Amino acid sequence: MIDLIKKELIDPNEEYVIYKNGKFIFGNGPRTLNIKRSGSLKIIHVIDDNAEIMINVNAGIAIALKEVFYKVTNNSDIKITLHVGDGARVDYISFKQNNECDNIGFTANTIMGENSYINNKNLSIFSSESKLIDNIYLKNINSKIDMENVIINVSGEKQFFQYDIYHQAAATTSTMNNYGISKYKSVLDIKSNGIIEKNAKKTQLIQKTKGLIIDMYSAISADPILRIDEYDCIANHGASIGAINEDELYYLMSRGLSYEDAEKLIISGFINPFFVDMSEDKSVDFMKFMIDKIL
Amino acid sequence: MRNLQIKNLHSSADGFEILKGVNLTINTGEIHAIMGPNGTGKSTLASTIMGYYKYQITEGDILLDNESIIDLTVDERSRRGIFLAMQYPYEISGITNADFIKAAMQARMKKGQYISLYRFIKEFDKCVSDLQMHPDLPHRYLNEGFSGGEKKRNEILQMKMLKPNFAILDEIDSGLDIDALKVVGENINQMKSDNFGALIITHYQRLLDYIDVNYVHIMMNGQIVLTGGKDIIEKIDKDGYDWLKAELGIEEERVEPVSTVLRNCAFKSLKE
Repeated sequence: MIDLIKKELIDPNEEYVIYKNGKFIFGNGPRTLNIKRSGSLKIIHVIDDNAEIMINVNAGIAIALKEVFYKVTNNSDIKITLHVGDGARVDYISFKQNNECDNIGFTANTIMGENSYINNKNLSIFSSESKLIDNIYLKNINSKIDMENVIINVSGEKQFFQYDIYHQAAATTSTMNNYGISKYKSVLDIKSNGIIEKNAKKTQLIQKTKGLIIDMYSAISADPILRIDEYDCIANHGASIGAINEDELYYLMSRGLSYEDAEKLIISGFINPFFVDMSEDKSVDFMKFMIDKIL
Repeated sequence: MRNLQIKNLHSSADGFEILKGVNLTINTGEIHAIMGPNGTGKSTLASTIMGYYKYQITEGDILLDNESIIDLTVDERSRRGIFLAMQYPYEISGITNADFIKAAMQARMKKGQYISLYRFIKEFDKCVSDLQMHPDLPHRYLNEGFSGGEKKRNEILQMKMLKPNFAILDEIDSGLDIDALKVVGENINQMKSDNFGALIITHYQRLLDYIDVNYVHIMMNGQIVLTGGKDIIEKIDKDGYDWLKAELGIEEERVEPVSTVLRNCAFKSLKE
């Protein structure tokens, strides 16, 4: 398994760690995810039991994290906690999937320090009924998060995703863009809550959810909620869900693309913003391969 | 040489007949122009040839090299050599122009064959330069944020890259400034050969000043009512269509609006 992981996901000369159920088993990177120096780190997870994963980014650190849940089997509950220290900057790309289980649950909590920043991109492809809850706490002044979530449900089951961003301090900023795709009689529920607590003055919160339903038996629901307890803030949200535009399909087909290829191209265009500015490497190729495989 | 024949073509949308027996033959090596008042079926003809799902053929046939294509899908017609430059090209976010055209070219290749990336980039850059388009075009999303004129030029760019045998250009001159008109006209003219024929739908003479048009057709009430040479265009430009209607005894169809009550509190005029 380790050789396969290295072959499929690890580029030459890069720092990486392989964790099983939240515990280090192999790699040339730190044995605990207590990140003390700037740079980049690839984290590969193998899960066959409930797991707790703690990532701590020390103050002032600039780190690029690429995380892949490579093999997730058994019906597991996975908890991820990310602490970002004051002044730290994290570029965090995470690919979550499951391989052989009937049910999967992810709960993630992110706590941000003063003047910290996260650029977070999450791709989730689950093959069964699943639930993911992601809480982000902008606990300290001037903390900021830009988040993009791509969720592809082709499982034929119902999947639930909830993203809650809590503005708990002044001058905090969050943007969240969700892209959901549902195919093969799948149902996708996306809830996004933006919470601005009292005294979180001068905060800015922007949330958008877009859903693309590929066939007539699938469904997507978006439930964006803003809970605002502070006057001096900017908050807005929006959601749009629809099927593939027939006229767009016609336009692409009029250039010779088959229906299937035209549909694929439109879907890839829908997801494309997720991969913009992402540095190409084996893990990104792996993500694109998985998307291609299921769509 | 190839030929595209439209035989007694009738087509309708939502039960309303628009084409009422169109007859037209285009051979490669020929450029035809179609003119006519608004709403007479010119764009419908173009879309019906391409296989647009909203139009149903109720009578007649479309033959490519003497073989009927009316049962072929849109993409099959395209791969057999038909291209439609649309009147209102669609914007599709997330797909770059380069990726789109590359995918379209790949779709035309045999299984196992692949496009040479180097040759593609070279040819694409040349076409961009020929059409005097901005060099960042390959990386922009398909027609997104393009001006009307840029969209039309992008249609011609796709045509140049895909090299169809028959191109139908639906009002390709609308939205083009004087200089762009010249560039587009010259590019279309340069494609004229034994392997290429075109059907240009237009309202005005100006584009046709740059193109060696062989035949001009006037369309009215869903049919071609007159075919001639370029001299017709001057007369239309000068005198409009009334002289022709009078000469041929054509009364333009007027569809009377019908009032309908919607849920007791609103009226909406519908064409029957």
